[in-house]
Amino acid sequence: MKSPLRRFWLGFDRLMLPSLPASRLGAFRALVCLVALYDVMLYSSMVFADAELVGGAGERRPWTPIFLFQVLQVQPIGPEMASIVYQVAIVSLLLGALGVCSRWSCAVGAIAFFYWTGLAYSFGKPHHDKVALAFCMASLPFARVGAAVSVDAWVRRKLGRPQPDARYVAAMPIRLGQATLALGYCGAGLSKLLLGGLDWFNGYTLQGIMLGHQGYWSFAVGQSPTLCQIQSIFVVTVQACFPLVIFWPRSRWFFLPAAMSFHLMTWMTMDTGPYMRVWLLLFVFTPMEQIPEWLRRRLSGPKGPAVVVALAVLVYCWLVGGVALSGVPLWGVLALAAVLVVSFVRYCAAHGWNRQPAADTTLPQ
Amino acid sequence: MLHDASPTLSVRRALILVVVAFIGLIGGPLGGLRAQSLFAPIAPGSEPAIAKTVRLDKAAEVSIVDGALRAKVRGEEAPVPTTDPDGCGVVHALVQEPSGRVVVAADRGLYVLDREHLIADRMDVEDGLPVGPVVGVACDDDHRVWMCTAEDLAVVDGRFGYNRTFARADLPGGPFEALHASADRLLVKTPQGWFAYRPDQGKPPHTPDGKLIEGALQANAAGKIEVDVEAVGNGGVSLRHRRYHHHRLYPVVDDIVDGLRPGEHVVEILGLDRDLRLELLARYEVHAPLPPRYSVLWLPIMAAAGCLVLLWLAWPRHGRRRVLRAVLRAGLGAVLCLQLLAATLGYGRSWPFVGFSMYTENYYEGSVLYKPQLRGILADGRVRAVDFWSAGIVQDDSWQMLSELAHGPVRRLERRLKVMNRRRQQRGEQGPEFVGIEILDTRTRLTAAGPFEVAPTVVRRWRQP
Repeated sequence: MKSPLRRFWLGFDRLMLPSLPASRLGAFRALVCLVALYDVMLYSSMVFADAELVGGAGERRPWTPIFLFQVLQVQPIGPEMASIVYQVAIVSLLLGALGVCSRWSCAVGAIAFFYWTGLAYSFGKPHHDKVALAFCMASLPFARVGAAVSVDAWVRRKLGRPQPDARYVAAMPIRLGQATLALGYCGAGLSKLLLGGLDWFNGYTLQGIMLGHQGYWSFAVGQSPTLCQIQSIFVVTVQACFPLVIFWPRSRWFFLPAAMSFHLMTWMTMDTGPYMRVWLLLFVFTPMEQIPEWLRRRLSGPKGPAVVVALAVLVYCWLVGGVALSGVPLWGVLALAAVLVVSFVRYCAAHGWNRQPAADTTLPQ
Repeated sequence: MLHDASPTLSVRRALILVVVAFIGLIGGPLGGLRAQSLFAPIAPGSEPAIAKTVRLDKAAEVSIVDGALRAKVRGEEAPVPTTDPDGCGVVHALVQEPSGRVVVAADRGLYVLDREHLIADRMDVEDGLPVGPVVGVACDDDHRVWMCTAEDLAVVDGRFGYNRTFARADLPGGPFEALHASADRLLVKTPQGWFAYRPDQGKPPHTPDGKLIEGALQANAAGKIEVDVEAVGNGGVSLRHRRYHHHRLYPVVDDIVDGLRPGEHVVEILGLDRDLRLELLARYEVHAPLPPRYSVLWLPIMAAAGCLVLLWLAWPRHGRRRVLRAVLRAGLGAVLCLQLLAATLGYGRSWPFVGFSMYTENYYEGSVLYKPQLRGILADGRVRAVDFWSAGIVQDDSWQMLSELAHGPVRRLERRLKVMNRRRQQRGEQGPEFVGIEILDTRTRLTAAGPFEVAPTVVRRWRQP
């Protein structure tokens, strides 16, 4: 007879430390590092602008450190130090994305990312759009993130070193990312219910939030209080019920597009910015290692659906690329796009261009 | 006859002289008070004309016709709508501020409109204005909007809405019928004629010794400080406070300044006299400590202790790699628990453990949405919106830096203007340069018929000499 405590921890292990394909964790590592890289580059103008004013002339924003910085007694830094931190962050996150010395580069990248974000938030307001990214980044060094989809794994293969038993690994970062995102959406929805009460659904509240931030579509979408009332109900329902995606995977077909649409709409109507860090991290709910195979089969199938899928992928990539250009240089975006296209073409070449399932699929059923 | 009547007149004159002498004798002590009377009757023949029409530009004007507001744009006349669901009531007067905004005095209060927003919207004023139909309104160059009801006279700051009402004892006998402001006088119309008032006489609000009070204070756990500022000024001084990087001026009630969030602040105490002259009386550097539950010492210690307990609970009794499993379990459990705790407590600075209180404030029919806007005044007189980045302003909160531009010295505006023109050159823009800055607080009124953009408030307008 197992004690209740032991049963609890065994259940906790099953939920939070599941064995998942190493390739999924590897892809997740690359995604998280790239998103963090984009974020560091995006915030660089703000951090450098604040750093320029540290100890110099000109009106500086007030330094109101985040709690972590208060505990660690962190002080604002000048431009030279900021430049060093920036370079360390870029190099380590790039190495992390490529999977070079994966765990170490992710660890350094996580520290640099936290420091960089903390500097920006200590001069301004902390935001919610990279909470999940922060937890994912911090958890990467604690898992075998270099076991697949990494230069580390490629080097091991080339050198003929024994491959670790890496087909399935403990994927704690993926679960932590899922839990954080689910908690974030649910918390946002429940807060509106508990703090705003039923009045939050009067239509004027959502209208006020939209128009108060003056996005591109604010006046078009926020014209009618009745329409806003319907949207309020939809928004809070999606947010509060989002944790269903963890316990009922089929619901992801509804909640993931709904969440992404929600962010795109807030971008257009509330000028929140694209929130791309969050909706890119929604991939944490998908079996990423299966995407190439899924795409290969769709694209080699009947022409109609294939064209639709191809168009959807192109639009998505165009959207991600377009948003990324706000922080990343064009050559960086093009290089990443080229790597993805070449990888996919090579995958298709290796597995055939027909609709048959790949002979040696590494996918769990 | 005339000659006969002379003795009678002489007797009357003698009687009047006696009466005057008597009043002079017994009223000697009152003579000083009479000399300080705030309102004096104006000379006959110098009464001002009260305009019933305001010209907005070459093609547009608004007028009062039979107690209703009407606009004429390019020859087409139409009633001016209002965002007030109950209407403005009878319109009594209107006047144009130097910023171009029109202030309307009506039965239901003060309303504003301008050329781009020909819709009467309730003016933003703080509580405390006299109740009853507003029968007269006048503006001057110091952002002051003077208004009167039949019995009271008050003055409102056109930018921030704070106001003062005159004591009735200081006013001439009513009922008041109209107001007019000239360069240095305010004129009030009563059935007995026009009376003039000269604002801004004497010294503006000041401390008894005339010095600026400076010091450092520590806020209590509730984010409050008690200030001890004595001030003198016309009609008594009321105190307001402003924090650096905040644009609004809040009243100091019972010597208490509240609402200070944890961190370092600079709090200014300003004195406001009867004529809304605003003077800096005191400046405090304030440290607002974290609430005890966020102690930088005890919270990490408690968190560490919690993690140790979690580690002990999570320690596997059997199996391999027990240390690693225990640490992973405890670490994950702690992170999830802290996320839940932060979601409940909602302290934003504890990032990445955050609460979710954003967007939980409610709006209702009639609510106003505000958004500040920075505009550049071009050399040819046109005005153009400028985004914050193009002005070299780094901020992620609407008023964080803009407030210091709105309240700060002119040298800040000069510096910002240079940046704006430099950025224009860098972008290769042609045409006239910026010669001034305008800071607006744009306003949107929510109504059942939909949202309406209404006349914004010009918080500051400055042109380089």
